[in-house]
Parts: sequence; structure tokens; C-alpha cells
Amino acid sequence: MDSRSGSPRRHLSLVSGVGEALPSGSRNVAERDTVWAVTPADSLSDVMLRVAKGDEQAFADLYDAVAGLVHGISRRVVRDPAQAEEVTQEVMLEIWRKATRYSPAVGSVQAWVATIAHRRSVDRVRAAQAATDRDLVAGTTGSMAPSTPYDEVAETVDLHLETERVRQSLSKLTELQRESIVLAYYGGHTQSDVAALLGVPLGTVKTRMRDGLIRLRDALCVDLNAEGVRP
Amino acid sequence: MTTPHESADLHLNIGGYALDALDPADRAAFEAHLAACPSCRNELAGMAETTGLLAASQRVTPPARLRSNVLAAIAITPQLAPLTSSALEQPAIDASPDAVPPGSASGIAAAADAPGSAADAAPTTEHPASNVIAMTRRRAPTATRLLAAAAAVLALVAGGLGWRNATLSNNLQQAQVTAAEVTSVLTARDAKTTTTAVKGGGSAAIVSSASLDQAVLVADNMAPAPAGHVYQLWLISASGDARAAGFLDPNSVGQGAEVLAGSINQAKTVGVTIEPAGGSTSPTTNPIMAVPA
Repeated sequence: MDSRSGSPRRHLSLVSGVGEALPSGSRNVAERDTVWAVTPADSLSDVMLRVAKGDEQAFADLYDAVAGLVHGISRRVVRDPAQAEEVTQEVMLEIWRKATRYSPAVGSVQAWVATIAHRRSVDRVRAAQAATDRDLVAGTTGSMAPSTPYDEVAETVDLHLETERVRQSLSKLTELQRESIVLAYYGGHTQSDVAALLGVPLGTVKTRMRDGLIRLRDALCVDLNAEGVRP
Repeated sequence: MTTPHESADLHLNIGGYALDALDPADRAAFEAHLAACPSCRNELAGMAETTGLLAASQRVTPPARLRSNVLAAIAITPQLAPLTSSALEQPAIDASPDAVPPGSASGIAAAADAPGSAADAAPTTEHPASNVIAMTRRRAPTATRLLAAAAAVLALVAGGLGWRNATLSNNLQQAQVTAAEVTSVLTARDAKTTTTAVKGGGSAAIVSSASLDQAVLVADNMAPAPAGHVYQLWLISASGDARAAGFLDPNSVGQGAEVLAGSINQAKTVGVTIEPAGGSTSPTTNPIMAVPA
């Protein structure tokens, strides 16, 4: 499998500023950058503008659009249903409070919401983990068991176009890239934990996470193009 | 192995940051790096869209009662002031724990969100704390005690005993990182110490370094948190946004130190609240201590 996702051309395009002149070889990547702003979730930025002005009806619409995403990630990371519900409610409240801080220039509403949801889920699980660890003999690995593999998701996950697209994109990664990302993102593990779980050096995990995310990004972009989302 | 402060190493942490896979110290270090690195911010934006899709592929419809709970809650929950307004002009934060309006659902946030202006929060102000008048702090009298506490902390960390009982290798690694972080802040040339009494007993010091953009909380003789609760640390920005900055390890309340996760330079106030086990996304109780950052 091709693991040269950090090739000079691609890297150059990734570190180029928006609007900056790109080398001709990077033209397709520049188009992809445009595609990112056209993800379906982006239609939510208008809703967010109204939410930022305190529009409670707009927030109800936003809730209906993103609560599934928020709850999905909190269920996946936190696992305990009651705690996941708490996290979901906390995240939705935080979205309400911070709606004034959202800027479409920085990214899509979906990415912003997911960032908050994942951070809160991970904070919750690590705080709980720290409490559990203190009661365990050091070296016990039972609590460190890897999470459910990405392709064995709970049946409660809503079937979704994105589910299949992400599944396919993940399958294009190297095993180490995929495992690193899945253990960290869905399992809520730190990169040090991921390194220990996979039995590889920390530096390797860092590289695989970064390269894997870049490849995943490119793969998902390509799929967007293939589906004709972008004219 | 490179130190966490080397730029190349920091840049390599971008994947871990995008996946929320960094420990608090590394997260704070990367965020400091991010503030000064446009290319990392650019790359991170694409990664955030990607992880957003990872999340979107896992949608689970929450129970209907959550919707009514949340919609009822927002009706009585104020929104933060936008960052672009003149809200950068913020009130002086009274560091006295008792100064928080009683009955406030969120003492720190309420205090920091309050309208009015006494202290200029402009980034050019080197020591915003010096502008804050209503502040209880003692520097010299407790310096010796603080140093003794810090020395004890370092000995504990260096020994790797009881610091964090994760896996053995993780424990050691964490202990090394923590020790390095604590040491670098405590020994920074511009280290600034603010000591305060803690409601409930004991005292705590915030040692901060603007050049490192990091701060350490040193606890001295604090009482253990109530059963089922934790001491949660907060960095409150000039605009009143309380950001979770980690927890004070229960083993550290008597004598210990914790690196605050996040940028101290972007914070106006450092606070600690008692939160239910697992912590909260924003403060839910009045702070047991709060000092200017």
C-alpha cells in the first residue's frame, strides 16, 4: 500500500495558505480545499448565525441536525449510556453558549461541533479512567482493551451515506494508520496508550496518525468529488 | 528522544492533537505552538473536517427527552460574548473565593462574564494581574513553603511513585513528562508565583511562565475533594470563557503539583472548582480558589 502521503507535492499544498498561489501540480488539491467548504454540513452555517443571535428555534433546528453526531461520538467514546447522555447534553449546551464564537472561515459547523463533542467525551473518559486506575494495581491491562473495531460498530448507529464512505476510506489506510486513528478517535486513547496497545514506538504512532489523517482527508475529498457534490 | 518543546516534535503532534490523543501537557504545548504556526492551523483545519466525518459516520439518535432537556436549558443559559466585540474589556476578577455571587450556577464563568470594565486585557499588558486591585495574594511569606512543596513534588515525580497508575511504561513516560514540565515552569526565569488560601483548607500557588506559556498549580495541605468529586482546574479567558485545564490528582492535594492544560497567556484567571467525578465541561460550583493568571 502506498504510504507516501507525506510526499513533497502534497505537503507543499497542505502548508500553503488559503488563497496563496499554488504550484500548478497542486491545482487539484486547491480544488479539494474548495470542496471542503461545500460539505453538506456547511448549510448549517446560516443556522449557526441565527443561533449566535440567541434564536432558540434556530438552535432547535441545529439540535436536530447535529445531536445524532454528538451522541454517536459520546456513545462511542464514553460507552456508558447514562454518561454518554450527560456528555451529549453538556456538549449541546456548550454549543449554545459558544455559538457566538463560531466562525465559518475556520471550518464547517460539523467539524466545529464534532471537535467539541469529541473533546468533551475524551475528557470524560480520561477523568473516569484516572479514577479507575487508582483502584487498580499498576500494570493491569484489562481496562486498556482496544475498543470495538471500526467495522463492528453497534447496531444502533444510524445507517448513513457517510458511514459507508468513511468505512471505505479507512480501509484504504495502512493497518497501523487505521488502528492508530481508530484507537485514538473512537477508543479515546492517548497516543502513548495507542503506542503501548500496538507495541510500537510513540514516534511511529505520531507519524501514522498524521499521515493517516492526511490520507483519510484526501480519500474523503476524492469521494466527495466522485459523488458530484462539487460541480 | 526529542523534548516536547522542540518545534519539529510539536508539529508531529498535530495528528494526536486532531484526534484528542495528547495528554494535557502535550496538548497545552501544541496549542501554544499552534498559536504561532499558521501552517499547522491550516493543516489542522483539514484534519478537523476529517475527524468531523469520522464523527458523522457514527450518528446515534439520542433519546427524545434529551432534546426537551437541552431546549429547556438553553432558554435560561446565557451565551458568551462574541470575541470580536469590545468584550475584550473585562471586569477585574476578584480573586477572593467568597466574592463570587452566591447562587450562581457557575461562579467563575459568572464572575468573568459580568459586564463592566476595570482591567485592560490587552495582550500587550505584561502583567495583567498587577492591574487587578481586589486580589488576595501573598508572595514572599510562603515562598519557602512553596519551594519545599515543589521539591517534594519533584522527588515524588522522579521516583515515579503513585503518580499515575496507568500502564507501567505510560506511567514512567507520564512521570517524566510531568516532571520536566513542572521543573521547566518552576525554574523559568520569568516564573511568577501567586499564592492564595483555598476554601476548605490549605493553600495553593499558581506558578506561571509567560515565556513558556504554561502554569503549574502547587497544592499545599489542601483537603481531599468530597467523595465522588474532583478538583477541576480552569483557565478563564478575558472574555469569560472557562476552559477545563485538567484535574488535581487526589494524591496531590496534600502536597503536589499539576501542570495546567492550556495557554496561561491567553487566560485571565486561574480557578479551581469542585466537580462531580469525571469533571464538567464548565464550572458548576463556586470556585474554591481563583487567582489572576
